[in-house]
Formats: sequence, C-alpha cells, structure tokens
Amino acid sequence: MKKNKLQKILIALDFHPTSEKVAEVGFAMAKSLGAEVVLLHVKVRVVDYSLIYKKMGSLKLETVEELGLAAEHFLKNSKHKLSEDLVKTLVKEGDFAISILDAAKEMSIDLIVMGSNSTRWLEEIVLGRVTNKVLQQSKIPILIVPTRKNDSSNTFISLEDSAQGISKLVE
Amino acid sequence: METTKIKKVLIALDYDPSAKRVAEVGFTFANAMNAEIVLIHVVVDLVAYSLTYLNLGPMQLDTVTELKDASEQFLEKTKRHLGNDYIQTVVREGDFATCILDTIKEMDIDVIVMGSHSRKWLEHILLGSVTADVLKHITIPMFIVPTRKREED
Repeated sequence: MKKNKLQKILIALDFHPTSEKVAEVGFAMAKSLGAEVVLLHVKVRVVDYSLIYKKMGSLKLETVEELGLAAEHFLKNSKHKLSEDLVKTLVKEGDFAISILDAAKEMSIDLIVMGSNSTRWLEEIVLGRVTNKVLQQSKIPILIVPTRKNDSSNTFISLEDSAQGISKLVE
Repeated sequence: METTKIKKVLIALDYDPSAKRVAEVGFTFANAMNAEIVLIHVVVDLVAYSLTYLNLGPMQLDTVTELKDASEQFLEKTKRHLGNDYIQTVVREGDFATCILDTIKEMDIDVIVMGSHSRKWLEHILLGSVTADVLKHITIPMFIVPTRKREED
C-alpha cells in the first residue's frame, strides 16, 4: 500500500480577501501535521483574468507584468503574516488548475489547500473536463476551505475586492 | 481570527470500491491531526437511489430498512479494517447534503472527508438546486480524496 503521509502542503491563493483565511487554515493544518508549506499563486492568462474580473473589461498587456509583481508581493506578505520563514513561495502562469497540479507534481505535494470562493476553480477541478482527467491521474487530496461571503457565492470577484485583499495583506 | 483546530473529522463513505481508499486517507489525516473520527453513510431516499443505481430499478419500501442495516454493517466493517475502536459510525437517511450538514452541526465536526468520484454528492453540495442555501451553511473545510475510476492498486 502506498504511504498516505501528508508532509508537504500546497496552499493556492488568489487576490480575493478571503485568501487570508485559506492561508490560515492551511497553515494551522500544516503545523499540526508538521508539514512543509508551499504557497502558490497562479497568474492566469489575460483572457482568463478578464473572465474572472468581469468589471475590469479587457486588460492591457503591461498589466500582466503588474499582476505578476502583485502576486509575488502578495505571497511575500502572506508568508510574513503567517510568520513562517521555512515556507516556500511560488508564482506560476497559465491555466489555474493545470498550474496547481503541475506544481503539486513537481514539488511532490501531498495535499492541496484552496478556497471555495473560486467556484470557477472548483468547477474546473471538480467537474471540468481537462482537470477532471488530471485529477483522476493525481493522487493528491484537496482541502477546500469555505470562504464565501453571503452574496458572493455566485458572482465573480470584483477588482475592488481584490485590491482590498491586497492592501489588507500589505498592512 | 481564531486558530483553526481540527478535533473531529467526518468521513463520508458510499458503497463505491474507492470508499476504502477514502476511509484510509481520511483516517491517516485524522490521526495525523490527532482528531476524533466519525464515519457516515447516507441512505438517500428511494428516488435518488433508483437514479443513482439505475440498474436497480424501482425498489420496495421495506428495502430502506435493509439498506440501513447493510450500511451499518458496511461502516462496522470499515471501522474494523481501520483497526480503531474509537471510531464512531453514523447511518442517516434522507437528502445527502442535508444529512451531512445536520451531522456536521450536531456532532461539531471540523472537517469533512469525501471522495472526488462522488460527483453526485459534490453537485448536491456545491452546485445543486439546494446549493445556494446549503453553501451558505457549510462552514467547515472539505477534504477531497481523489478516487480514480479504475483503481488498480
């Protein structure tokens, strides 16, 4: 029988304010398990971003760069906030689900932690065709942290929310 | 923000062969967290059963009792397989999402473990019609164990 030890945890974060909660739950778990932590942020493609952040409309190309910087900043701050120096941070680009699964594979992750606010991600991971296929090949469990606010369960997150999330983490 | 402590883990099992793996992974996880374990099987209503197990066709009413008995045996068997006497087992009857949510509330569960193949369940919980409501009430993390259709090992 394969070993079922959870030694390395991947925490996937986005710009949503609730990412904080996801990170904290993931960290609490990692501590109890005595596991290593990898914080991941995926910069999705511009097209995907404009789908997620409906209000933004189409993005200019240089914004992608900025998104990348913001992503790194974001991860650094979450890391700092959780006062854990042994944590690795990682920024990936591309399809969200595939990036997560790739990272999980590359770093031999035992558990993926992510928030439920990203229903789109969830759909992709749980029900999506591509990802479902990947998931079937993957042996990594996923921990989904409920992060929804009362009214945001079905609506896409707005840029304002994301900005708030970032500034909140920066503080 | 309060620290997240995981003291009680609920493992949802069905009759799928992958349930063994879900139970094992959930068990390892709960043990690592030093948490109590509760195994649950939900006997969904007859209509749902006949939908899920299309081959079964319509069922007779007294079958529900038999199903519950079988479920209890199934959970006991799993419990023995895991080799831990402190594991609690629960069999409930009704709508899956509702049963799960009620149990989570009543038993003060911190994390629910379930298999990914249970797409019906997941749909019920995440995307079903009751969902908008249910989603608002699920407040605990879900630990999803990937269960491949063809389990070779």
